[in-house]
Amino acid sequence: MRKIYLKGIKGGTGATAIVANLACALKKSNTNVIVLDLDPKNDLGLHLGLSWEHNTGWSNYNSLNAALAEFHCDSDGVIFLPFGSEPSRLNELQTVIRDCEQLKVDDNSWLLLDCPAHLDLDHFNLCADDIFLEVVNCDATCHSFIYKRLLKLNQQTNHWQHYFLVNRYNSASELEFDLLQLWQSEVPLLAPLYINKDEVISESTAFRNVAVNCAPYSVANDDFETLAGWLVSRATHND
Amino acid sequence: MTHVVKNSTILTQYDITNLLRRFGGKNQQYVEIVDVQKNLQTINKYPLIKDVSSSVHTHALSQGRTKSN
Amino acid sequence: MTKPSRASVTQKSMSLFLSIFFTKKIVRFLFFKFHSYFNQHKVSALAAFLLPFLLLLLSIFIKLDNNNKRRLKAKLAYLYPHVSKPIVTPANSIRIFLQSLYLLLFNVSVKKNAPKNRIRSHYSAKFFQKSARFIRYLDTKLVRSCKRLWLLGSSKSTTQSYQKIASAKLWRNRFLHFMFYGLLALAVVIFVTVPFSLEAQAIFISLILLVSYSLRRVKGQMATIAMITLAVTSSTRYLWWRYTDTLNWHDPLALTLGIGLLLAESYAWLVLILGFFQTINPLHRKPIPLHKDTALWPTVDVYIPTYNEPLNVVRPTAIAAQSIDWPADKLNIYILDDGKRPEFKEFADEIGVGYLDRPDHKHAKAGNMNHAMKHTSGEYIAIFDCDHIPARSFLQMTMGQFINDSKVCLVQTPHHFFSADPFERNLNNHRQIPNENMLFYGLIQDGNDMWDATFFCGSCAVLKRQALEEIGGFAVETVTEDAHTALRMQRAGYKTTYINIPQAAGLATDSLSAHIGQRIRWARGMAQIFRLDNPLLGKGLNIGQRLCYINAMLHFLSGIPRIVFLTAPLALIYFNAYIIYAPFIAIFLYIVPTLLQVKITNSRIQGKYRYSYWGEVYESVLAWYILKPTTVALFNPNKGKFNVTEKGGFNDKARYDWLISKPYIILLAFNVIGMCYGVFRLFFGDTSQIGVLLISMLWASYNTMILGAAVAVAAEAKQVRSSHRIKANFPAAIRLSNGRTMKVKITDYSDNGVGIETAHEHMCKTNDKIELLMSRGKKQFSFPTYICNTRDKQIGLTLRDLNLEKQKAFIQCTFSRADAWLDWQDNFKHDKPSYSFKKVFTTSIRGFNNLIFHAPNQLKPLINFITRAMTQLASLLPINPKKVF
Repeated sequence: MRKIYLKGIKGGTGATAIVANLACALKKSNTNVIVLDLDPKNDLGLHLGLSWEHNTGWSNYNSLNAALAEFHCDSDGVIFLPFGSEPSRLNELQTVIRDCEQLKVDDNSWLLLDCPAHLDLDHFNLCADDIFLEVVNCDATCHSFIYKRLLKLNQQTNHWQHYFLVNRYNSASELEFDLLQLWQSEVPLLAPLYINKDEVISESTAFRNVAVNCAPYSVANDDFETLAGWLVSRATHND
Repeated sequence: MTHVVKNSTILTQYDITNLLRRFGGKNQQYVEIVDVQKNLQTINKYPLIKDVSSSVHTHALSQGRTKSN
Repeated sequence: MTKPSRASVTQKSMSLFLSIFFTKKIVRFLFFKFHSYFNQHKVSALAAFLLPFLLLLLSIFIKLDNNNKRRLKAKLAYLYPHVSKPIVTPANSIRIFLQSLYLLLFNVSVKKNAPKNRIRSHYSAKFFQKSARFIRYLDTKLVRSCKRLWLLGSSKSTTQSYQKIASAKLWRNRFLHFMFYGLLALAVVIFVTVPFSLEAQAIFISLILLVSYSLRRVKGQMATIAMITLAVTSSTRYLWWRYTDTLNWHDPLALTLGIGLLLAESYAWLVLILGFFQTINPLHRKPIPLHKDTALWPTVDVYIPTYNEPLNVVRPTAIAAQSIDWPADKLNIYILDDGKRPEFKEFADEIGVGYLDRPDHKHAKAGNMNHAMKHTSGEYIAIFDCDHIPARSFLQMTMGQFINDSKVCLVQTPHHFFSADPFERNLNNHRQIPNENMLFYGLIQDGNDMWDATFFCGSCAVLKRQALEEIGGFAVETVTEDAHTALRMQRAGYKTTYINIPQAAGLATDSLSAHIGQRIRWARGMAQIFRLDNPLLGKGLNIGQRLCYINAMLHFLSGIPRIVFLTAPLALIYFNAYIIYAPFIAIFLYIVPTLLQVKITNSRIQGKYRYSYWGEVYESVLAWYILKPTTVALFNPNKGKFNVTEKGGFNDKARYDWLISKPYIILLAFNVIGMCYGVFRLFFGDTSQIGVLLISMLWASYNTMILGAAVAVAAEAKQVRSSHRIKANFPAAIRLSNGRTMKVKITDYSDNGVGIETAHEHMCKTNDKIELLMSRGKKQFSFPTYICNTRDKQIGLTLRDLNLEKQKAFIQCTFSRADAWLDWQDNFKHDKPSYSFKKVFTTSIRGFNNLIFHAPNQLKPLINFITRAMTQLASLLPINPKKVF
């Protein structure tokens, strides 16, 4: 089972939408995908067609075994586990991750973890096989966060695959264009692709669906497919 | 072990891969030239970026390591 | 209505007379019919009188009630559709007669349900069909067995014993090589010089043709070499026969003309042999990668020489040159402006490239570049004509050759045109057949590269400064300074290379006269080089290089031979001068198969780069014009001035260039009159030597076709747009004003607009503002555009008010894409001589049409008369019956 962590480098970078679309794109290539919502905001379900009234999740139970009924399957076959309405403590987070790893699925399955922006990396026990995508936007705040993160990463002892993934890229904006050009040559660990700004990504949430399904001819669809393909190559690189 | 993932284009087909696929010699690498001038302009244009850049440099120098892994 | 007074008297007497024989009803019928024919159908009085009687007679024998009559009428109308309404006219009687003959002989089916009439086989037709099928069957069998034999030969090489023999040291023995080539040469000499009887010649030549015919489907270099050997043998044999057997020493006129033709044929033979030598094994050199560390890369100066071209032509070139992928501190661009125009200086400053001008204009482009060399210092010099827009990968594809071998002084790349050259534009076949340029850059230069004889073509190349300095800069003694410079560098011991990948594209000459002007300059220059720096003499060149240069020069001396070929058959027709003094059957057995063999071989070698028969057309267009400059230059190389080729002009209306086409029209007139005279002689003259006369007329008609095509080229087509639209096929995206994106395909672009195609229906309307997203490599750029038109899934976008940054980015995303010109040869299937012949034929018909269409007003009545007469005659011919509703 391959684990991908997705976390916004700060709040509001659009990480959850990426998780939902990525899950759908990966599922389209005939592999099993399980998504685990680790964000107390509990908004992953909105992207995956969960009814608004349903607000229970794994945090409402004591163990994963008890919470098995909370696993939902969306219309594309993506299996997801919402956060729930109870606040959770850190060790509960780590337990549920560990328990999910024990699920009986084949080795090619993906486990996507939608992490909240406020949690720091130390709270996850990252190992060499894990891929960590930190979602950024092309603005000055993220620029400073990126470099702060890079400094921190230099001091880490254990290693994993860490990448910065640009989301909502708009080449018409002078600042974004300049920054991306700078990052592409100066920032190590920048993912070699980016998700373009596309209205259809937010529109599709209003349609309780994902952009990959709503707009097959959009650039967003292309971007998520490329992201999926790239992650496959990164994961097989690990194996 | 093989996955069927659609090989999609990253907005545009990369023109260099087209070229090398048809005419490239063995082990041909293409170097995408970095517009150093433009990057410097960007750094100098935005004070925040400049700030980050200069402090990262001093930090790297003091650590005795370059910032790129 | 008849005039009552006069008609009534004759009418009354007639009716009285007729009522003796017929009933009142019949008399009334007769009058009714008479009136209808005479007044309505305007038939002559006598015919109108007789026809009703004829009808009466018929009605005795055939029951003509209404239905039958209608059916009969319909059937007759169907069988004779071209018969016009007043049926009884002399023209119609000829038509009816010929059509009846046609229907009888060919038994056309009268079934109504076939959309196309099928000619059911009658005796002769059946026979032809059967024999055609049989021939096709034989052909496939032959080709298959030949292929099997060939494959057998190649598969044999895998068996061990054969391998042992093949790799034996024995073959490397120089003596054995010498012996082998000596024997081969001896065999060739024997085959060439031994006089055959006619039967023997027939057998020999048909064997050769049989072998090459069956080889034509076999792929591979060995088969090509076999065909070349056969072509060399048969053409040498032909020439030997001509020299030894066909000169009429007794008739001085025939002798002089005959020697003229013989010399022209020897020229053609020489060019053929050298051509085979040159192109027998194109090198297809691969680019060499550079070192990964860009700090080790050398410095390059880019020269963009210009003289009087408008700024909008030079802009994209300079901008694209700036965006070449090379370290910025090692790349310097210079506009070399011999026109000293201030707007160019402003432009250069604006975009940040160098600008050089000089106080005088001595030696045109070469002098300009020599001056620039004194003020620049790059280790290498890349040169682009001001309209040749380079791809961003240009330097990384070419510089590797220098790094790899320090003796290399030149890397040349193809000249590709994104606009139509005069031939393509005026004949309206842009991108349908390979253009004139394609043979040289696609094949010949690649073949030259094999012999290390690539020469500099003035643009789209990189040169080593050290080599240039060693020879004293660019050569200024001739008007083709580029070839001369390369020659000098090769003499100094340097090597030249050719990379057959188009990495730049430019404008073709925009009118036929500009094109011819350019060729005149090249021809004069080559002749000058021949006199001043003869590649056959002097040191520093190996034999391969000498032969390749000589072939290039010989190519430009084709003026006189081509005119000789275009007028030779007329000698026999007009003057009855036997320029080929041999019986008809001998001429037939020697000429026709040799020509066939040569044509087949050339088609095989050049098939992707030039289609058959077009070479003759190109040569005919130039022949008259390069005649004088080359002859003058051969005798006095320093005479004659340099004329610059104009680029970037604009034809705003269609017109016929009478001035340029005068030579072709005169030659055409000679040939056409000759053919008419030949027909005259056939019927009324001495018919003893009818065979030779027929061959001459056939040759004259071939010349007429070629000249007709040349005439067609002189009709300058109207240029519709002022900026050239270039076909493309790469992905991009658009972002609409509602924020949604769509993947699109760029189908074409120009310097201020783009045509796109969406995959899905779109809701965009004209004047919508949408954002176009394109990439240069991995960098994405956004362009604000307006929709100027839309149709189905196609949208046309205009870019307005782009600032300089965006203009630069646009060029980088379109013109300087690394793969922008890679499909330059992709659309062309291999040559098929019969198909190409048809194309040249239709082109020459077009030429005749052009002459008629653009004829001066005084001739118009005559032309109208002739056209009408011809259409009248044509209408007499039988045609296939078709449904008449």
